Order: sequence, then C-alpha cells, then structure tokens
Amino acid sequence: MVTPSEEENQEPVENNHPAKRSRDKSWRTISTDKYIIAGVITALIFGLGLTLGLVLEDARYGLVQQVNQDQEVRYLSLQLQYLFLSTFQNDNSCPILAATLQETIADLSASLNDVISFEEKKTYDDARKLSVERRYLLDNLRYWLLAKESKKKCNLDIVSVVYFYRKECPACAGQGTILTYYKNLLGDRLLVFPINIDLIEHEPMVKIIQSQYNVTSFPTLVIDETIYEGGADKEQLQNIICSSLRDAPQCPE
Amino acid sequence: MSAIADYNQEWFPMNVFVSIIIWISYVVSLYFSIFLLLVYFDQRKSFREEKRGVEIVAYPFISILVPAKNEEKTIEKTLRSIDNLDYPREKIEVFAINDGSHDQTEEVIRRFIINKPHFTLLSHPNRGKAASLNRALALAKGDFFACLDADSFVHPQTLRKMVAFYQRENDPTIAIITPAMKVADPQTILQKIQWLEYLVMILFGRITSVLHSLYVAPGPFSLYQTEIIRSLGGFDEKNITEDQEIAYRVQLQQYKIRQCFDGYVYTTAPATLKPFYHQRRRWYLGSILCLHQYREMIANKKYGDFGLMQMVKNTAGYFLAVAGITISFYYIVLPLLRMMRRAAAINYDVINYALHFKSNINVFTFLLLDFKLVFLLISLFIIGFVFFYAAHRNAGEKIHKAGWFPIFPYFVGYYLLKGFILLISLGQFSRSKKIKW
Repeated sequence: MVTPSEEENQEPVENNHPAKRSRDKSWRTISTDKYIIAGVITALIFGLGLTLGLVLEDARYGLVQQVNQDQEVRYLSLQLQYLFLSTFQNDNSCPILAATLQETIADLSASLNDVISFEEKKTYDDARKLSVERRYLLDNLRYWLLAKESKKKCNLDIVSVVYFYRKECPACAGQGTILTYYKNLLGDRLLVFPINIDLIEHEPMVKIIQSQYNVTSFPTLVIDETIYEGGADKEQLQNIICSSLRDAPQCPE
Repeated sequence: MSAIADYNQEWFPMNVFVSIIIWISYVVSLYFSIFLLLVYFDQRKSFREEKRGVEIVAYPFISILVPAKNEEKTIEKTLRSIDNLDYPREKIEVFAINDGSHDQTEEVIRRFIINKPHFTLLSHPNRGKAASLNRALALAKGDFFACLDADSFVHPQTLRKMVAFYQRENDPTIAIITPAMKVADPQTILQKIQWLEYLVMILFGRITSVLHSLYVAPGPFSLYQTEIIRSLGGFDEKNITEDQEIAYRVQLQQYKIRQCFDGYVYTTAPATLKPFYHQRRRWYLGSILCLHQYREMIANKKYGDFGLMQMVKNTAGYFLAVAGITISFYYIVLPLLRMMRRAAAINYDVINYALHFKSNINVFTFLLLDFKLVFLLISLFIIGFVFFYAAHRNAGEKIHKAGWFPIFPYFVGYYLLKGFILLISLGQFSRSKKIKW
C-alpha cells in the first residue's frame, strides 16, 4: 500500500500510462458558489425561524398579560362581593359568592396549568417569566385567603389545599399528579393553591406564608390548617379530603 | 442577576448544553442538506438528459471476483446472475473464491461451473475477504475487474452499462465505477426500510459522483480498473471494510470514482435486527477507522469537494449521531421516566385520571411550541422529503412499492437506530485507540 509520504518522495513518472497519472488533480472541483449559497440559505432559514420564534414569544406574553387582566377584574369583583357581605352581614349573597369563587379559581388553575407547562418548556431564564410566576403566586395566595374567609362566613362545602413545592424535589411531580387526579375527580369542591417556594428570594409573601406554617421539606400540604410534611399519597389524601367534605359523591361511604 | 441564575442552578447547565447541541446539529444538517440540494437542482437537467446507452465500442476483458464464505444458499443465484450478463462470454472470466467455508459452498460452485470454462474455482482455508480478492486479483487478466459478494445479484445489463459509461466518459483516470445498489426482494419491515434507504443512497451517490466525492466502492459489483488497483497495492487485508478503504485510497491518490446511476445490483439486506446490528457495526467501525486513517484529507483543498465537503460531512456525521442520541434521550427517555414516576403516584389509575382530565388545548398550548426549533425541523423534513421523492424518480421506483407503512419508521426512528449503532461503534473505536496509545 502506498502511503502519502512515499508518494511525495516519488519522482513524477511518464504520463502515458493511466495508472501513473494520479498526481494530476486539476479535475477536482470546488463548488465555492454553492458553499456560499448554502450558507446564505441556511442563515436565512435560521433567521426566519428566529424572528418567527421571537414574534410568537411576544404573542405568548401578550396572552399571559390578557389572562392576568381577566383575573384582575374577576378578583376585584370577588373582593367587592366579599366586602359587601361583611359590611351588610347579608348571608343571601353567599351562593353568588361561592359560585364566583369556584368559577374564578377553576379558571385560575386552568391558566396556571398553562403557565406551569410554559415554564417547563422554557430552556432559559427570563425576567418576564419571573414576573408572570410571581403574579400567579400572588393570585393564588389572595384567592386562598378569600376562600378561607368565605368558607367560614358562608359555610361552603369546599376543601382548600395549599401545596408547597419546588423544582428540585423528586417527590413533587408525583404529588402534583395526585392533586391533579383529585382535582379532576372533585372539580370545584377541591381548591388547590400551589406555592412555588423557589420564588422565595423574589417574593416576600413566600417567606411570610412559609414561616406561618414552618415549611422546611417538600412537598408539603396544608389542608384546613393541618400541615402534612412530605405530602400525602393517594389513599391518605382521599381520607383527608373526604373527612373535611360534608357531602361528596366521589368519596366512599 | 445572580439570583435568577441561582434559581435554576441544577437544570440550567443541562438545558443549555442540550440546546446548544440541538442548534448546532440542526444548522449543520441543514447546511449540508441545502448544499446537496443545490447540487441536485444544478444537475437536474443533465441528470434527465444523461444517456442510458449500452453501446460499447470495443469490449474490454472483464474479470469477476466472487468471494464466498458459507454462502451455500445464495451463491448459485449469484453465479447465475453473472452467467446471465449481457456480455460476450469470451470477454469474461469469473473467479469464485471459497474462503474456507464450512458448508456446501464449494460443492455448489463446483457443480455450477461444469462446462463453463470461463469460470474458475479458487479454494483456500479462511483468509478473509480482502485476501481472497487479492489472490484472485493476482490471477486476473481483465482490463477491469468487478467484485460481487455472494449475497448479491447483478442485473443482466449492468456490466454493459458500466463499460459503456466508462467509454462515454473516455477518462483513463477513472479507477472505480460504482453500481446503483437496491435491496433484493424486501420482505420484512426492516428490509423495506433499507429498500427506501438504498434508493436515497443511489441519488446521493449520483450527486456526490458529480462532485467526485464518492467514498465507498460497494462490495456488490463495483468495477475497478485492474492496472490502477494493482499499482495501489490491491485491497487492504487488515481493514474490516475493504470496500471503503480502497475508495479512500483511490481518492487520496487523486483517481476518480464515478457512479453508473442505472447499473443496478441487488443485495440481500439483513432481515432482522441482530444481523442488521452486526452489519452496521462493522460498516460504521470500518468507516470511522478509514476516516481516521485518511484524516489528512479532511477539509483539505487538494482534494476539492471531496476534502472540503464529503470528508467534513462524514466527520460531522459522528457528531450528529452523538447529538441525536443525546437529544432523543433528553426529549423521549427522560420524559417517559418522569411519566412513569407520575403514574406510580396515582397507583397507575391513569384511566380515571385521563377520563376526568379536562383537556384545555387552546392557542396557549400551540404557542408553547418552541417555534425557533420547530421551524428548522420543518425545513429539514421538507428537504428530506424532496430528496426522498427525487430518489424514487431517479431510481424509477414508485414511492409505495414497498408499501406505505415503512416510510413512517424510515423518517422517524430509523436514523436513531443507526445513530445508536454508530455510537456503539464510536465507543469501540475510542476504546481501541486508548489501548494502542
């Protein structure tokens, strides 16, 4: 076998035999134009994709903003209903309050699902994402407070769960799935308020509610002022929920 | 700012790592696909008008080498396909080489060549394919010689087409003329997928032939100029893929390799995963070794498009395989594990979970897609389909000849499977290198 170095040392031989013509490389082509055009087209597709991505990302945040605005209006309405109730001591408005509360929270959790999957899909961090997350956290907290008060005042047959979680928590995915499972089963009767503890450095309210229940491990559930550290598995959660609901067809007798 | 970075401490590096890999591999694949597409569109007219003639001015003498080891089942069909070649008998000699078979191969050959004086049986204890070919090459009197593996069958017109092609080109520096390889009689899904793959390979072969960038002389019926191959020292007996090594060596010595785009050869593709795995691992390990051995040609202008495009593309191929596996692990295996863990939490009561699940697929869900990547992916798929369609036209086959179904795994899972085998071959290669160093 001829190695390249040997080839280099050989003197060029006469050119009339085909086997000895190997040195000639003038027939080699270099498609410079196509390398450049291919580069330009690749850059164009890349740029087009990038632009499209950025435009759609803006649309995405626009949508988040709109969802936030809707939430704000609903919250104001709810707050006013509650204020009205407390001021006039009129229990007749309780059913309206209850209906609005459940409907609003159902909506909140639906849009929260979107936000959570949005957050999971994102591969990089972003200040806008942080503010959206803070916003949802605060919404959750005020609805939770309102739900607590309304339950007392109007004697609503609902159970509210505060769910403390963080990203780096192996058991949280399972806990989230269990909660979603019962949420799907019980609908408006179960109100889940997820608190992302990772936001603690950015949102003082997280610190406040964390010290209120002295939460140190994750996941932790707070159901009717009882703290369940390490969460609850499927059977436990069913018992807890069913013991605090007065009348639930989904619960075994 | 530091607070934001801290926030994702654990996943952040992994995500960024995977993202970077995804971006690079998409852009690299896109670039090479577009380049080849440009060459294709540039050549489309000449491809369409390319002569398919079989007129031969003067018949050169041809030696045909058939190495066989334990091929009693197919060797007779292989020899018969040679016997049926549309070429003057007195201008052909055939060497059937029994390379230490343990079965009836030699008997079958002996029986077949009775009354066929231009057939010769060579028999020796197992030496390997390259050594068998070299032994026959020493005896060959042909101006050209072709090798035909005993699992392949040549179309009666192929030799004429190849010789006619050579005479049309009228270029003595063409060292190898490669055939257009099709899968013989595909039966299993895996064979049908390979049928599609081989058709696409024929088109890529035709495009790279224009760029003088072919890097494999397929075992089944590549036609070599005897004088040139002899002067290069014959086949490398230490190499596990001698058909790739010889092509790289021919390129290194500045000889030409051209494809005869309609010179069809039919080869038996592995029917099941295990032999497929063994075949591909040998190929891939062989190509890694060749690429390593001839690395001086990578990005070397002296070798024209072969050095600048083909060698770089082949090298990039390994990166893409590793990237593909990493990406699919991250996007398929990990989410699957996560889903399993979640299902375990609700005691696998997934039916109840799914039944009550209020699906809220809305604009928001749609917007969740990472459009920057999806856009690139779509572009890649479109180019893939263009090649796929063009390849079928090029080879004169209908897209659904092997059924519609194999198209799906061909586009979705097949490249992952190949990437996985390539990864194993790479591991094997790096281990062997470490031992040597």
